[in-house]
Formats: sequence, structure tokens, C-alpha cells
Amino acid sequence: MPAGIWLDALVLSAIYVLMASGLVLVFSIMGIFNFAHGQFYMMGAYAVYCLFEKAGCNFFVSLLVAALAIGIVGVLVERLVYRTISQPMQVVVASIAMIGVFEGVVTLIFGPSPKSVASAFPGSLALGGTELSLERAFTVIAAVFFMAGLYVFLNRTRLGLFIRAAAQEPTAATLFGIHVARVGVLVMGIGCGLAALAGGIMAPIFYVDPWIGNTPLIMALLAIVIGGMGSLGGAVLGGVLLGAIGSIGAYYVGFWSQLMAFTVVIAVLLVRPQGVFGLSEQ
Amino acid sequence: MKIPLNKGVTTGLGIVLVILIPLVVRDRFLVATLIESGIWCLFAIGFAAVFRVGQISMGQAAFMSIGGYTAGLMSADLGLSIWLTLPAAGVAAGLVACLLGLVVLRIGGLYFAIATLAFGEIITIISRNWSAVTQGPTGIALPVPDDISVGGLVISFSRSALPFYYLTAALVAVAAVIFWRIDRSRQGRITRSVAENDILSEHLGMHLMKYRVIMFTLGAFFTGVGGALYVHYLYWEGPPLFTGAQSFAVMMMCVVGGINSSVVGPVLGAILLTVSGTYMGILFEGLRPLSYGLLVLAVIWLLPNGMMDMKSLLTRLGRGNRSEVPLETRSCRERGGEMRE
Amino acid sequence: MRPEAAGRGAGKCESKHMPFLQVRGLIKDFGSLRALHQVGIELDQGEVLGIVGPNGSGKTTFLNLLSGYYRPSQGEILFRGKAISRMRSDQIATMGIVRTFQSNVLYGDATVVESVLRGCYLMAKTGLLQAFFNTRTYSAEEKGLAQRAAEIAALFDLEDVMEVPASLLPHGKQRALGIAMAFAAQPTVLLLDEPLAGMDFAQTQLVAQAIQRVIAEGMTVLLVEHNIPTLLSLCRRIMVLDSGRKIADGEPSDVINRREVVEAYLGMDDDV
Repeated sequence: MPAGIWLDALVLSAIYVLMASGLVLVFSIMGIFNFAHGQFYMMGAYAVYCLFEKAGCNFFVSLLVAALAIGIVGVLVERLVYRTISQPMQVVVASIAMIGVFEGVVTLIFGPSPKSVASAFPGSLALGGTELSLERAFTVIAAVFFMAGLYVFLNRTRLGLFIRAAAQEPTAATLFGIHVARVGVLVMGIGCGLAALAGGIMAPIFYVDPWIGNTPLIMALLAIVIGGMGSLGGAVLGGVLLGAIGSIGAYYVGFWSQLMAFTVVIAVLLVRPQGVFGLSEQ
Repeated sequence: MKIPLNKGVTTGLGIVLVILIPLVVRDRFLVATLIESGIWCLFAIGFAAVFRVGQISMGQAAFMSIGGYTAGLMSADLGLSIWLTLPAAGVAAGLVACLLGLVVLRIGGLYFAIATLAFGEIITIISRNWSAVTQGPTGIALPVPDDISVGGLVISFSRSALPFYYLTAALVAVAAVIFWRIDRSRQGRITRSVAENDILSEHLGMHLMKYRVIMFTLGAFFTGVGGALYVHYLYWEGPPLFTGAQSFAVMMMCVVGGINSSVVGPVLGAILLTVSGTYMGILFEGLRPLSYGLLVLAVIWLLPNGMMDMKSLLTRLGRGNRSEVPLETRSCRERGGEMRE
Repeated sequence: MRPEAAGRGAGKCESKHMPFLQVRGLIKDFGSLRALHQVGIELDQGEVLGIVGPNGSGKTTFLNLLSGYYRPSQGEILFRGKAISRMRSDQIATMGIVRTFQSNVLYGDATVVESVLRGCYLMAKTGLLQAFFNTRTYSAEEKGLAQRAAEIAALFDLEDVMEVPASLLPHGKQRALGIAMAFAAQPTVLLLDEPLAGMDFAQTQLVAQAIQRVIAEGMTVLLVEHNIPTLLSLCRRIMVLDSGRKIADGEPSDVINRREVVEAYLGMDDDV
């Protein structure tokens, strides 16, 4: 199997891990299943398009600004839309409605035709007989970097401790002086920011149009179902698994690999619905 | 003179309107939009069928697709007429739903919803890739349905959209009557029980799986028929027609129209969203999905039970001075017969 | 020494006595916690069994196992000779065993009359197709069911709240509604889980009378209750559970004074 496939697997895994982590953070801590998560990916890509391709900013700067900006959009959505709705079921429906809202707004501003973003790292590296695209290599490195950062933040900082406390036991956390609502804001920002990062990183590799968020959403959803809906580690596991199926699987069995991913999910739902790392209910 | 706005009168008026509109308003675009609305009515009623029994199916596009491809293949490859392909499409979709339901309805709730979402994607992937059967992205071109001769009159599908319009309206009417009747009968009471509290219902003797599978299958049947109708109308079936976006759209229509309703809510929502979306889409690209999203949000904020809230408001206005039934009620015995909800 | 069965006589055949309801070696584990340990009992048709015990002794778990909500970890339950321990709750209900719940398990948005009507599910014999086509048999049956629902609601003094959604009822009436729904199913065996909890005196009398009436008609009743006086007025036999074990089974007068029972409830030593 050519080395390029390994790199593709890592790239896909990287994207899915970022997306799944963002989704699972928001779900497990805010209790919101944000179906519009894919749209933040899409908007991240458009933000990088604007900043990097159109305005000529440095790619890293574009990426970080995009993540920040889209993270803020996420916070606004949570504040202005999700928080105003009383029933949890309706929040889910609202998030589905937001898919249309974002798709519509972006189409109105940028039009439906795909945009392309020039490669930030053109060229390839010759490694042991094969050519590895630098762009894709960067994608993987960036994703690892951000996930490591997330890990450090959650496990080594005070704020991260607050977030984990609020996730486990919101009432107790409040008693300890943790402002759970403010923590929520941060979490929403991080979750949507992660999605935007994924979109931004991928922008030079694929094209950018209003619908690129749909597949990443589905994949993120599948990843957290496999990994366990409350588990960050599970999101990583699910993301890596799906990335492997999507690339290595696709190389060997073509489109059947996509079918495999979905069938695995249905099997998980039947056999162990709480996912690999999820806690089973009595 | 006050005309009572009771159910009979409104239904009658509605039927007359449906029959007359395309004849009076000779606007082809409007008729096309209404046909599309009607097909979405079928899809929405199909979604509502399983929602009424307490489950959310996020993969209804799968059944639209199965119906569409069944009809496409039967008419393009086998030359069968539309009068055969429509029921066949429904049966195919219903069969798949039955089998799927027997497996995944057991788990229910959130996991069932995700499983249906996954299943919807599976069907989309198959339709895109199983070129041998589905012709992949190229899709299947359908022939024009044959002319029908009734007495001296020739009904031609190729010359005008009216036959499709009346066919759609008739199918929606059939679906409406069936689900309305189910809702009013004991089966409706049972499905509502199962939806509202499955554990209690099970302890009162109700076999949960039986009723869930029945409604899921029935809903899928009409969704399949709708899918078949759609591809006949477009003379084409292909993968982009029925994807996750359509599964979500049908959910949103029911939310907007009235989430606690089997027929009226879905129909209202389907017509409203399709008509507004189509006309918005003409104005600007992107207004269509935006209008969907904003309408859903508006409903969630203002009319939590969907447009039906508005309907009850109007009915109460229409009743004028007639007072509501007091809480110290007439005894059951006076009413007898079928209990209303 | 088993007491005489209250109400109508025992078993089906004279020659071979098949126990009506038989529980053998019932064990229920939740992970490492053993909620029920080797509980066994035999009931004749028409018996009225009171089940008492301190909180956490496994009374509700016992009912949950009987009604099919839980599967036993070990042991078996035989009803009229048929093993029901692995059956679904609806199958068990169809066989004639219906229960009420300790917490108010109701159809929150349904009105009282609608709820009781839903309880009549098992009484309906016409099929779904007949329902759909509104045949004469079906509509006649529906009329009958509506009548029955009204009568049962009246039995529990719910006539003045017929059109009120269940979630808006006061607690006592909610409990009464739960019991009414179980009655509506016309069970052969009725499992009542603390039916009188939170009821005032008048309601307690009402419900006790209703239970007495069905006992007189031959219904087998298993009654979990903390209200001892009412329990004693209804039951000729009492089973005492403590920490998942059966520590006593017999006539009330025997059981109440037994040392283990007193200790279990009051935690006193045997000199008292």
C-alpha cells in the first residue's frame, strides 16, 4: 500500500478527530447536540478563504483568527438561539434549523460556486521513494498540535479543571464557585473553534462551498457514537477509526468502505449503544 | 349570517380550493410548486406517522430514494406504467422499513434516530455507487406516463402538469384519510399511549414493537409512493434528489406545521415551507435554506406546537360566542361512542 | 403452616394441585448488589398477600420481577404453570398480571377519562382493521369501553376531574388514577405498589373499598404497603422482606410479633 494512503488516513483522522472532539465537548458539557456543527467547519473554511486567499494574511494567523471568529459565532448562536429555548428536544430542532440559516447566509454572501484556496505549503517531500504532500503533512501536524493543546488545557489548567468539573457534576461545580454558565461559553467557543480549525486546515486541500460541512458533521456524529457520546477519548478513537476506514478502506474496497463505517455504527448501536467508552445505563 | 368554521366546512372548502386553484390561476410555476408541495405533504405525513408513535426517523430520505429507484427502474427498464410503479414503490419502501424497524426500533429513542440517520446515508452511498443498478450519478431517466383515455377525453401527462397535480392531490387525500382515520380510532389511542409513556403502555398490555413497526412501515410506504411520484414528475431519479438534507427538511416541516398532529400539521408545514422556499429561492440563491431555518426558529420561539397553535386560535375566533366545555364535565355516559382526545 | 386462602378457593384441578402463582428461588443482582436473595412463595388464586419490609428491602424489585420489568438473575416465576420470568411486560399483562407503580407513572398530557380508557386496552377484542373501518362490532365495543372507563373512574371518585390532564391532578388523585388504570385492565392478579402513599383518610378509605370489592370478586392481590392498619384489614397473609430476603410468611397475627420482623423494622435487640 503506497505511503500516500497512510498520509491520507492521518489527514482524514485528523479532521474527524477535531470535529468529533468539538462535537462531544459541546454535547457532554452543554447538553446540546449541535447539528449545525458542520456549518462551523464550513465557515472556518470560508474565513480562511477570506483571510488567506483574499486578504493575503499569513496562513497560521488566518487559521487562528478564523478559529477565534467562528468560535465567537458559536457562542453567539448558543446565547441568542439555543439558550432561549426551553425544551431540549427543540434545541436539537433549532440546531437543524441553523444548518439552513448558515447555508443560506453563506450562499447569499459568497454564492454557491466552489472557491479554491491556494496551497499554504506547496510542493511535496520526497520520503523513502514516495512523494508526500507537504500540505497534508501540515494538516496532520496541526491537528496533533491542537489536540495536544486541548488535552493540556483540559487536564493541566485551572480553567480546564473547571470545565471537567462542570461536565461531571454541574450542581456541585456551582457550589465550588465555578461559574457554570461562563464555562459553557468557553466550551461552546472551543467546540466551534475546533470545527473551524478543521475546516480551515482542509480549505487548501479541498474546495470551499456552502455544503462542505455536511460530511464532516456525519463523520463526527458517527465517531462519537462509536467512541461514546460523553467521552473525549472516545471521540479521538472514533475519529481515527473512521479516518482509517475512509482512506485505507477506500483504497482496498472502494465505496464499500463508506458503507462499512455506517454499518459499524448501526452495529455499535445494537450491541453497545453507549459506545466504546460510554457508561451503560441501568 | 355566521358560517360555522367547523371541521366539515373547512375540509370541504379545502377540497374545493385544491380542485379549483390550478384551473383558475393559470400559472405554471404555481402549479409546479403546488405539485412539489403535495409530494412533500406525503413525505411529511410519512415522518409524522412514526413520530406519533414516539420515534424520530432522521433517515426518511432513504425511503424516498427506495421508492424513487423502484419506480425509475420499473418504468425505465421494464416499461411498467405509473399505476404499477407507484404502489410497487410504496411496497418496496415499506418492506425495507419493516425489516429495518424490526431490528432498530427495539433500541428506540436517540439511538434509533441516529441509526435511521446512518441508514439514510447508507442508501445515499449505495445510490451513488451501485452503478450497475442505479446508474450512479447519471441517474435514471424516466419515460412519460402514457395518456389515459376516459370516454372521449384524453388525459395527457406530457402536455400539461395538471394530471400530475390531480394525481398528487388524490394521493395526499388518500394518505390524509388513512392517517386521520388511524388517529381517530383505537389505533391512534394506542400509538399515542406508546409515544407518551412506553413503559406504562407495555405494562397495560401493549406490544410496543408491533405498533412501532406498523407505523414506521406505513409511513415509509407513503414516503416511497411520494418518492416515486417525484421521480415520475421530474422524469429523472438520481442520488442528489434524496439526501440527508431532505430527511432534515421533512422533520422541519412537521415541526413548523404542528408536531402533535398526524395530518394537518405535516400538510401545513410542507405547503408553507415548500411554497416559501421555492419563491424565496427564485429571488436569491440561498434564500431557500435560510427561509426554512428562520421559519423553524420562528415557530420554535412563537408557536411551540407549530402552526396548529394558530389553527386553534382561528377556530376559536370562528366559533364566536360559543363557550368552551366547562371543566366540571358532562359524564362519560352522555357522550358514549368514540372518545375524542 | 399455610393459612386458608381468603376469597374463592384454590387451584384449578382437584386431583393435582397446580400452584396459581409460584415464585422459586428468586435472585436479582444489580452488578455486585444482590437486591433479592432466594425469595420464594406460592399463592393460590384469590389470595391477598401483603408485602411489608423496611425501605430498600426489595419489595418493589419483587414486583418489578413479577411484572416483567426486570429479568431475574436466577430463579423462576410460574403463573398457572407457565414460566413468565423471561416474558415481556406486555405478555405478562396479557396473561392477567397487572401492576401499579410506586411513583406516579401516568400519561401526563392525557385526561383522566382518556387515561382510564387506555387502561382498558386489554379488554378490547376487535382488531386494528376493524378499528380502521369502524365496523359495528368495533364501535359497539368502544361504547362499552367508554362506559367501563366511566364506571371505574367513578369508583375512584374521579368523576369531577374527568377532563383534567393527569399531570395537573393533585397527588392523591394521581395515585388513584394509576390504580384505576390497573383496574381497568381487569387483571387476574393485581400488583399494587404502595397504592395509599400520600393519600388522605377519605381517599385511603375509597381505595381500600375498591380493593376490597375486587378481592370479593376473586382477584388475587399482592399489596406492598406501609399503611399497616389498612394492610391488615385487607390481607390474610403477609410476607416480610428484609435486605432482599424473606424473613416471614404467614398470618398477620403470627408474623407481626415475630422477633425478626420487629428487629428488621425497629432495629431492637431480642430482650424487648
